[in-house]
Amino acid sequence: MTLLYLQMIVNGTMIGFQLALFATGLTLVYGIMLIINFAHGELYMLGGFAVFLFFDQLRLNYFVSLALAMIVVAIVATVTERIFFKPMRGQHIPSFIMSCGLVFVLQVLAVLVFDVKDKAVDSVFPGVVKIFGVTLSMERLAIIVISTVIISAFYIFLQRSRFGRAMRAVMQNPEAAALQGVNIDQVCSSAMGIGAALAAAAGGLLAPVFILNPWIGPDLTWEGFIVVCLGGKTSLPGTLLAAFILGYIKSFVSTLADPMVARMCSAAILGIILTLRPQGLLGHE
Amino acid sequence: MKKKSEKKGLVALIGSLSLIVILAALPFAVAQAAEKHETIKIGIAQPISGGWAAWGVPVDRGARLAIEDVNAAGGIKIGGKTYLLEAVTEDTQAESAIAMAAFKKLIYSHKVGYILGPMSSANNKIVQPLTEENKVIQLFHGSFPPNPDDYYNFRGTLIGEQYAPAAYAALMQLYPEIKTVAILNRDEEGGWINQKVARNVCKALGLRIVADEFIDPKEKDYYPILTKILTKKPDFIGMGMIAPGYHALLIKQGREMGYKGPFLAPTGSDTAVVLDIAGAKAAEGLIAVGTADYIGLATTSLMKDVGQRYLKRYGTQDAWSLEYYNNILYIKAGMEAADSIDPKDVVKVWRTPGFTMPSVYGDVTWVGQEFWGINSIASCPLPYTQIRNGKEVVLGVVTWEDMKPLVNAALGK
Amino acid sequence: MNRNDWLKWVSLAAVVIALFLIPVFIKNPYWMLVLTLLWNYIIVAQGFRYIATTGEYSFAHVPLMGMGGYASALLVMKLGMSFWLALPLAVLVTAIISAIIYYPCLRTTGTFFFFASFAFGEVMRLCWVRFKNPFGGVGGLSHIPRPDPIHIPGLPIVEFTLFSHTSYYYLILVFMLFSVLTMYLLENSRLGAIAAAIKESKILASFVGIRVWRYEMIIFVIASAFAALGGCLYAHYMTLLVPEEFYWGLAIYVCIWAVVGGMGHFTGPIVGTIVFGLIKELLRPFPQIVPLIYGLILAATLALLPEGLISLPKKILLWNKRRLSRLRRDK
Repeated sequence: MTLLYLQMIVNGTMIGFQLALFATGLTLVYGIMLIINFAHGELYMLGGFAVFLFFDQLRLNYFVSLALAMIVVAIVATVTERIFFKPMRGQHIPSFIMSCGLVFVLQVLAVLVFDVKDKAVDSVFPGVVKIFGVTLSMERLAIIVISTVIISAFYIFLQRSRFGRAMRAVMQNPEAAALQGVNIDQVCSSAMGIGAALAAAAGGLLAPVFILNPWIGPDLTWEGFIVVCLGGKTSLPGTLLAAFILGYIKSFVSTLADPMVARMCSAAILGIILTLRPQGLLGHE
Repeated sequence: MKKKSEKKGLVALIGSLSLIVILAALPFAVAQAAEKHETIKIGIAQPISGGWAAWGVPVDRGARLAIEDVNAAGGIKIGGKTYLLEAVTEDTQAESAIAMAAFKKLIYSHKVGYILGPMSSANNKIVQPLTEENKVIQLFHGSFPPNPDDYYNFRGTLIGEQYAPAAYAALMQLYPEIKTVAILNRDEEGGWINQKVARNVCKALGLRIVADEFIDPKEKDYYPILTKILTKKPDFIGMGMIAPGYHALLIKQGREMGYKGPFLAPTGSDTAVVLDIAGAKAAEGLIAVGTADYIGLATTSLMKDVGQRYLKRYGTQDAWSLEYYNNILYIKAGMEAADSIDPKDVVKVWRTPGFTMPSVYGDVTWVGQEFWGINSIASCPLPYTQIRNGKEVVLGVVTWEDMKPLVNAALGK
Repeated sequence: MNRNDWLKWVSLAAVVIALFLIPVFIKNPYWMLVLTLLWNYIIVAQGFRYIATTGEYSFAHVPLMGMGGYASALLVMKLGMSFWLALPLAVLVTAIISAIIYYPCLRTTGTFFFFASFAFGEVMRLCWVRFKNPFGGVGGLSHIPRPDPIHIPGLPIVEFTLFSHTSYYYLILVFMLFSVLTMYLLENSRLGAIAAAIKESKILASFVGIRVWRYEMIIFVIASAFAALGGCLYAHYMTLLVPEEFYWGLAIYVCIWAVVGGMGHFTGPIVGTIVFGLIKELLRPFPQIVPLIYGLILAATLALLPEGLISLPKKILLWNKRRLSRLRRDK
């Protein structure tokens, strides 16, 4: 019995890390630009396909492919932001609708370039490790390590660097930040770029673990928004916390009951949090 | 300043509107151009866009290849005239309203007499009365049996109730010590039917079902459900109606979690995809019915030939593609035997006892009367295979005669 | 009535008469299906806009459309009711359910409301998936009975079979005109003025003595009643209900039709629904790129015509006026 619970905890932790990497980018985009980007899942999908292209097809080194994927998707996202989202900053509904249009466009482009069939990326870290009878696959362990590195690097950048401070300032109060001489446009574009890079990293890391097709985005975006709202829309630590809470709920409920009930729980949690504590767990008013 | 941006905006607007108008006019222009030869239009109603496209696009490809081949060989000669076939594809996106529109457009605007589709059984429920009333032949590969009253509704290959028991029987032969089983299926209509079949077959074969679960079709992380199943220690895991990419993930993750027994894919697999995603070591021992490797595991020379042409044309082999190549062959055979292009005459000819038609699997007939009250299923002999040392190996070919004794078990009788 | 009003009435009457005359000229069942579905979706899209008159965008609207369909289908299938009785009952039942769903959402506004309505709507929708009895699970409800024939003495019997293209066309057209008219009257009544006040500023509205929550709830429930109406008609027209069809896909489409059509003007959603519906059908030869065209139109409209397609004539007139005045000036 304890084995079952240990395995569920491990499963939940793995899901938590995946959500954390993905949702952090989403929080960044929302917090700084105040737009709702429903196309975030498509950035994840493109990141996965980019790694497929560089690593699987062109046979480059995996880490190089991952870095390239992050850069390419970041560029795509930044350009898109300048063209499409700039006039919508601060307007939630129009930006949401615009991002829906983007979802369609990116999905079709993925189909035209990569075709409709499921694609696989070779395993980079094969094998499993068993601790106290609980299974942890090497690649998921590697994902935990790599995503921790990426998230930590991002946090250090945010806390220690000048530009990071500028970003935090814009998240807290854009007008005050502008008065202090912060270039809002630059910060916004960078936020989009970094957020996209994080989503692409999640996509690239998970590509060898799961499969790729042009339609894997929207379900993940929905979960990402649950995490963002649960944690606190502008709170990055909140996002991390919420990612793990949701991960554990998914793991436990899916195994003990069934996956459909787990989805109902996720939706119900979103509704409850928004109505009872709209600022989320760690957000401020 | 203001004038310039206004102008630009307006120009862009007029430009995009013109584009829309041109795009809208295109279908009419295309329609005019097509009226040159004496053609018979064959309708293909499949999901070409959206989440189900991975299933629908191979169908479209297989059928179109067949139509090209038939036309290249001189078309169909009926009553002294030569007809060419023309494929008309309408997207259904596997959604009711769009599928209904697709079928209605095919029947009333394109005036087709033959439709290959739909893909989902839910869609079939609402379009079948339409095709039946309009005497339009419907051909598809579904997991659900035909209705005795549906005179124009056909299955181009055997259905799950026929070949699933064969897969289980093959498994028992290879692993006689197996006693317990976990069965998993897609949580949707086709999956429920298949699960019922699996339950019946296991009961008949004396296997004890220790886990009986449904999976969310879009789920990719099977650790939670595998955690649940593996505590019951099943001797083998049977997967049904789960797409090859996804059951490859199940296999991979199951092996990671320490499951060492065999896997069964009684509704077909795609070995190339499975080996790509799960790897040779994890996929070792997977038993499947049907194959996507029409070239390597060809049971007839026609299959190999068509498989190679398909690969050359589309750059890949797709599971369930050549089954729709067959459907075109059936139509051609029916038209030639009836000496008519009218579906009414073709159906009559098809239903005459002993009528055989060519397919890539060899000659087949319409079967199913003794179990479902009507002969609407094409008796394609399907190979069943196992992955050994990273290669797919044919264990045998199951014919309709072989399957008959087991079908009662599948139906729970 | 001055000349402008008179023109408006005449053109409106002409449009309605044209809509009723369409089946006389178009006999192709495919186009009848397309148009009938357009009228069906307009009921839902207009309802979506009705909620937006308070300033909120609800994503529980489309799931509630589904709920109306399920309620009506179950009443007919399980309780043997006639469609004509089940329709108003299903609308009523769904209105009550919508009150339960929207009640907690009243505490939220803007994006919070948007996501909260999505969340509760999704919980309701997942109930249809999870509970195979009575909702039929992922496969949904099939073979939903069609409406009973209408017997009006002196007139031929109006039947609703698979091939009664004109009967269904007129049925759904009549309900669409009824819904649009009702929502128009509501919007131009005192209730509409209150909604506009709430949209302007909830705080100021409450200062003026408007009980915001009460009126929001009234409007949400009325809109849900129309969504349910759309759902009932859809269910007994298609004879199949599948939970997946009321997922975020359709919800986003309804939102797009309404917004691209133009939320500011009453007829915006109607224009949006028709334009997108026709584009989709006309682009049937190019199925793979339809979503791409949708996305591009969406982006273009939001960037260049933020008030929606409905503002196009106004903009063209304005541009023309400016051009003429510039010419006159240069002279």
